[in-house]
Amino acid sequence: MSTAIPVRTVCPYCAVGCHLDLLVENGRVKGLEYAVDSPVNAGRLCAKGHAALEILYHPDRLQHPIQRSPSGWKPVSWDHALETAAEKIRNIVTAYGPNALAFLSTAKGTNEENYLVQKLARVVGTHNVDHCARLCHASTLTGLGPMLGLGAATNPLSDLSQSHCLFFVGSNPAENHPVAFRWVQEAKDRGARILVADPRRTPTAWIADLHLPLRPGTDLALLAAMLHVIFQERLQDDAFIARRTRGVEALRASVKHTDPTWAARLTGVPARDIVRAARMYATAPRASLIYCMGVTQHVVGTETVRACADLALVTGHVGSLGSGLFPVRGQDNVQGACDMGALSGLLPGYRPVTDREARAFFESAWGLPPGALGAAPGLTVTEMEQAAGRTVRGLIAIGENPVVTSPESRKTRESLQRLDFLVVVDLFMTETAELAHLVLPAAAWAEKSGSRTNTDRRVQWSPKAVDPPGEARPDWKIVIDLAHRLGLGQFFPYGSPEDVLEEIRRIVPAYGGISAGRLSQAAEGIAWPCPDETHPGTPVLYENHFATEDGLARLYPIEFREPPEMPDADFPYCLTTGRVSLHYNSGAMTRRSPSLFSRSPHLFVEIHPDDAAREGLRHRDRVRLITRRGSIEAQAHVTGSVCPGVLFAPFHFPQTNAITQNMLDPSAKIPEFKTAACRLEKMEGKGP
Amino acid sequence: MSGFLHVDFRRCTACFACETACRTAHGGGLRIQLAFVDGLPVPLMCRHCEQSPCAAVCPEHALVWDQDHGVTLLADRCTRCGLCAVACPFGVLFVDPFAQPSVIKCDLCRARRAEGKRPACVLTCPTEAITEEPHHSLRRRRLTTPVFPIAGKPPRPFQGGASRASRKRNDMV
Amino acid sequence: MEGTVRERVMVRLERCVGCRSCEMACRVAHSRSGILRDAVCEEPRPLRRIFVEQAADSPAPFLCRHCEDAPCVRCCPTGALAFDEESRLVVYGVERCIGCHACVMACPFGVIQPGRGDGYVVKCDRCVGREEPACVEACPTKALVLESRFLSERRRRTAIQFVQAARGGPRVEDMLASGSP
Repeated sequence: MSTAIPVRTVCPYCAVGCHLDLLVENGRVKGLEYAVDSPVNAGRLCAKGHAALEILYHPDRLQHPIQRSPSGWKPVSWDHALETAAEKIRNIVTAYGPNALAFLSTAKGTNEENYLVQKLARVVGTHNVDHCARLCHASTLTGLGPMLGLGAATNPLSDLSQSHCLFFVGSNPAENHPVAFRWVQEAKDRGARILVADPRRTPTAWIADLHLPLRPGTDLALLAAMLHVIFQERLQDDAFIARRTRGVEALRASVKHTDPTWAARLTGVPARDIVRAARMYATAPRASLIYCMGVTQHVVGTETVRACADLALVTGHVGSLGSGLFPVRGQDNVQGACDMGALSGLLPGYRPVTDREARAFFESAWGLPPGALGAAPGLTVTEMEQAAGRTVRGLIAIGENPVVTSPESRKTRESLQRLDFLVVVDLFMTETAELAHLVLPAAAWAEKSGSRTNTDRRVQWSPKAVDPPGEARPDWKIVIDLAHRLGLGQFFPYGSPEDVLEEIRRIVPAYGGISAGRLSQAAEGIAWPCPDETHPGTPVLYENHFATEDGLARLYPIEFREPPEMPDADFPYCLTTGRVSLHYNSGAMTRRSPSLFSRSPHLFVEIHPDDAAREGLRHRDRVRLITRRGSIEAQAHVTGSVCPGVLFAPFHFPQTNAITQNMLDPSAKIPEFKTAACRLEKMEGKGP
Repeated sequence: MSGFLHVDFRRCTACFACETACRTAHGGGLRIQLAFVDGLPVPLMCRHCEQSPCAAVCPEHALVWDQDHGVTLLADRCTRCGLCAVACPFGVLFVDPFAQPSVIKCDLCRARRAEGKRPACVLTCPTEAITEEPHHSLRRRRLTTPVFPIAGKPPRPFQGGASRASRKRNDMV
Repeated sequence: MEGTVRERVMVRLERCVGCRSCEMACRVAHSRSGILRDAVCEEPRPLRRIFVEQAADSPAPFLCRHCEDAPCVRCCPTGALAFDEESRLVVYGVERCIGCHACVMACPFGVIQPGRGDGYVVKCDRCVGREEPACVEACPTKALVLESRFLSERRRRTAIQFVQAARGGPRVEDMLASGSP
């Protein structure tokens, strides 16, 4: 024990960015110790953070590159693997052009790795690079970007404790960001009012002063009605609106008829509760609005995000201590991956590919010939999968598992099978890797250095603690090696993540002052924008002006649309999906952690007791869930925490997304994960 | 350290951090467990009773209570008879004949405390539902009871004069 | 005194000035000597059963409410805490207590605390043997009063409000201030 050296790393799971100290002895992690002196989490960790070590030395970890052969998987050398990959990529580019290639980057990688992946894609000549932000917070980028200037959280999470009113819309931090929930509890202890709008009575709603159990997909109606009440009762902050925003008249006109009675009919929330919620939020001296996937994963995701921002802006709850807008991210580095431009339509630093000046800047910065970067945005995650086997012939997927995470995943599986070449870089043999032609073993978080940006824009450095198992390599090295084999070595002259960060600092102004040396000294990281070495970082955005051209925020009018698939006679229930505290996204990591899996081993579906009685179901019965896209089996959990008519299933299991809808938000291209008309059938026996 | 862990189960959000922390600290065996009633969680672990029934029934006096360490197992005396598990009114102690020591129960993280660290579940609980300092926790509970509004004296936890709404109305006039 | 219904202690929050006289009186009443001079030197220090908390700008005394359907009684595995039907009080019997502190966790008001020396837990016993508990006696502003007086005062206040509403006149607070305490 005494000889073990603690190495402070950043937890690989959610976007809170907790610190945990790994005890390293003789090149092996012996255990973990709590980072009690960390300002981020003060030593606290959630269940997943504790189980992180189980991933590090998991027997299923991939240790060697493997290639598909007629006789099954066969281990190959790195030389062979990279040469094969390079050759296939060259062939595809020669035969079909660079746009027949697609790259899936990863929010679980570091900023440097995401930067490299998107640079490789763009140097090869395609904008077909995207990552899983498309499936979670793409609507935040398209929604908040034009309104406030940046699609990111405005305040640090610790500011939640300073708020007088916390309004959670489609967000459940108690389960998904347990360590951040301590700030919510702290606020509650100080007397803050907690409002939760969620179809389920989640653990977050347990402490709520007012729970608004709305029907899935009707968040926009609720927010519109709240705005109506605020304008009606003149609770808006007129001074703030006049000084800092534009477009209030259009917004006021658009919510003229969205009164609480109308919203009550649509949402199922009593009108008086909507009025109370609007009053509580608007009259609090400092209020925070926290939203997550319940808002974004809809075909009206962008509009709903804008309604959230409208609500915060007209009440003046943006840009000061304890007043902010929090799109809470799911993965440890979604924010960073977006910042690094691993998105089909955006170059690093959120410069649109359609902007001629931005393209010229990157062409010269990267040493590409003028005109090398295309002007049209590339394919998004869902579009890549639809085009796979047709216009897209080769896919390089790094740390992504689309077979589990994409909507209507059976179709995804079929289309991935049609690809000429699929490379998967991952820790485990995921459901997607099983379809690949070549699988490369990656290094886990503690086996590589790099910076990661958590949900409140804080960039933190996570150092390498131990060597990867077997021949596994960090993603950044794999990408650089692949680039060299493709003959693009001149564009990738890096020897370490630090070198990459240096280039990022030159290219992305917000990261200008964030050097590796500075990061390793900063206890809780540095919040971007941080333009130069002397800048302390910007924890609170928009204190004096917004990041738009004229410094004023834009208010957008609200137009309500119903969810595309409403329950009807054939499919009487509305299926919504979400997370549980013991699992994480596609479950590739958590379903392999014994301590987590043993506590939550089945796919279950929550059903209201009234509905269960009608269907003749009892707790733990086996049920079949049927939507227009297919059917899955699950265990019924009869609970009063869901509304009647609503079913809830976690999406960590490969089955769930087989039946979700593949309808896209037109601007953000985010799929409608949260609603699906559904029917139940009782099956024989208990289980699964 | 008060010799037992205080649980404010109303603050528990069922995040399972305590369970996994306990397993990380002790290896296998559930020394703390979330029990669910109607979907609401209660973290249960050894209460370290001062007149503990488990110690009272132990024929070999292998379980003893002391002020600092709570109910402690003296492993070399234990015969794995399992009587303690029968006696425990909370069902938070069990005998695993294949484990060593064989009585699986919360030991208040004795090994960690010997190194000057706090018990794993206390340290890790994100909402401070589990504490080793009951007086602090009790005080917080008193301060957050709904007594104030009932008494007709509204809680004024935040400083500052007129409410925002009235200020705003005045601005408009 | 045994065998009769004991009146509960009620709190008039608006009168509490946070002087903590009740806490001191409670400590003395539950010390071995029962005298302030000796109580302060006692070891272990006598514990109080009433807590004055300063929540922002309004102080509030907390003491056992002697709930009729008490969570602490429900959680007690041995029946050491029980609701006494005759005195209408939650009484603690140390001889049955195993010191598991379940009641400490169960009490919604946080007024049962782990004991030191005398008993494994300590809670208000409404001063056995006294007609008026020590805290009520000690309260200088009469914020702590017995139930009957509390209710009669509340009724009087309500009556004044009605009368005043009917005919107009000085505010209730002014009338109360000029009249008897």
